[in-house]
Amino acid sequence: MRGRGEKKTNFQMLFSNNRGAYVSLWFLLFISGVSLIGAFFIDTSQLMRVDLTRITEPPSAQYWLGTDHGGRDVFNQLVLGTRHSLAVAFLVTILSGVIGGVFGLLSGYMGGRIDYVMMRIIDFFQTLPFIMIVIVFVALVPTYNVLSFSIVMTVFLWMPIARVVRAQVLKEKEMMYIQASKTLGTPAFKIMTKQLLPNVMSVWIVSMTLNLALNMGLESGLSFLGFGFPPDAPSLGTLLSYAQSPSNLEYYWWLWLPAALLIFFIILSIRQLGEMIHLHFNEKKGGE
Amino acid sequence: MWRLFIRRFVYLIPQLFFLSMIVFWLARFMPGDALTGWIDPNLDSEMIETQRIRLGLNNPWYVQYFDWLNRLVTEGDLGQSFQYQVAVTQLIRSRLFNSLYLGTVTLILTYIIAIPLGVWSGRFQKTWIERWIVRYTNLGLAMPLYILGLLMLFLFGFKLGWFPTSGSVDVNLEVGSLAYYASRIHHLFLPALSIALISSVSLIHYLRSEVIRTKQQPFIQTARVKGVKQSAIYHRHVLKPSLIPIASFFGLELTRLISGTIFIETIYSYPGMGSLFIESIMQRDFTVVVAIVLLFGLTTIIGSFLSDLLLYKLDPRIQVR
Repeated sequence: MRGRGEKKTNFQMLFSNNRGAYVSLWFLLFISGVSLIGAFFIDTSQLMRVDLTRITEPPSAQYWLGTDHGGRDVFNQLVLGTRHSLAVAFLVTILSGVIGGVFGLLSGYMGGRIDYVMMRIIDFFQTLPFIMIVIVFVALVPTYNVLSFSIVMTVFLWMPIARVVRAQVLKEKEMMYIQASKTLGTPAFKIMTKQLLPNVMSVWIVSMTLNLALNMGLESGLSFLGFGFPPDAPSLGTLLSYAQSPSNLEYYWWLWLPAALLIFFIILSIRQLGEMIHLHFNEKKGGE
Repeated sequence: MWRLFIRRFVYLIPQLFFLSMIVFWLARFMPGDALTGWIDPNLDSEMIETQRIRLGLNNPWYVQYFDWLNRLVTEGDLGQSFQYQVAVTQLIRSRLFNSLYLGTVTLILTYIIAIPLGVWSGRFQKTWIERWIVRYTNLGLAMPLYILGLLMLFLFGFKLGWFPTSGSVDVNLEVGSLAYYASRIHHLFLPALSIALISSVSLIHYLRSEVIRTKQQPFIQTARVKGVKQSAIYHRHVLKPSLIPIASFFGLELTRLISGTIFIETIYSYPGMGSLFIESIMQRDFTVVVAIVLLFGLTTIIGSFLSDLLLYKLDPRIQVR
């Protein structure tokens, strides 16, 4: 910003020595922009209509990423798939962020036996072979949809957030200001929401970005195996599942390779941003 | 040590109990029961009903649960596969060994990759070596296993043709011959490497910080002053104490391996437990599914139990609750 002379804005400070995070941010904004806006221009029923006159065409000027076995445009499916994948990833992150946050806050603040029992619950959840259980669930429930799928994912993904938040609460709890509040008789609920929450916010946000990256990968993986999204809502993983058949994998690379690379770069960017946020909070803490 | 062992063991019991409950409930929600596949449609319903009573299928769920548990513990009976009409245990056996081979090769490769990279990245801090290793770990953390698996299969299996693209061994080879084992390893290598490239990342991280911590210790300074060669210092004094706790990562690796095999075995059409699981789900062969979930759950629970004990045994500073 010119008007402020030499002084950099907060935003510029954030990215001043982190080119990777800067690129990641713009990449993510670009991808979400294209998938959000682009989805308005894509007629879903038109897109999913089978047209046998143009099956498995390689990329061309007309079909940027070629067509699949039903003559459907791969690029448009990619745009739509990105939107669905991102939507579910965010939904799962928000759900597990809230559950994990509340759980961690309570467990850490209460301490003692309650904390012990709550942590054992987390331990137990983490030893479950959860990918298998999600797959079994999807195979069993005939009418699963995007929402119920997200909820099942959340059931197995909130624990790391709860752990991180709890650890931070344990640290903060020993600080003078909390001790003082307790002595003054501030209600526990108020201490948790007004005093602890703002101070665990940073680790909470960082663990939520990690969660976002993780569940983005898991959703695509499950869809890849055929146990993710319902077939009428293609996600990036659905496109990737074309690669399950060896002939597609070998000859029709345009069906699955763009989705594969896109998933990888989205996860990479989210992680880079998370790393940046983490460093930023650490610096702020150190600077005080 | 014994106190910890007992405490941890006591905690193992509810874990196993809940796991078996979950698995049992999954089994109940699945369509079909022990009679499915046996029933001749011409039988009259009364006979089916007497059979149901004989097999206890009309009992309340908790009675069925303890029956099921009893059969499982005393006889190792997991029921029959609907699809193949053989005992589940028999169906699983051959697949289990394939998965064990895959797991072993994966672990070996993981350590072969992780130990040198971890030590180098700690030893050559702030040089190009560390920068490249850190780059690799950043990519590895973001790379989903199935995507790496697909890319490797596409590149080395199909485009370059260096490795077979499916199966566990060439068919017309004499079992036990040298060529047979060579072919097995040839089939195993690519899937195992895919998992190892990713699972080594967290080990590298751990080793790196461990090496950086150790190399500032006074006894290392002493060794330097004494004129011990750099390489000897790293081999003898830094690597050894850092290596011991790695053994305890084993439990974690096991969990990761198990979820990894589901993807990797499917991608490489490798006949192991993971692909059996997916096949059974597809064919709605639910007794097999239940058995595999139970087996994998048991493995992770026992794995984490063992690694906690090992961790404590090796490094008493660590507090295990």
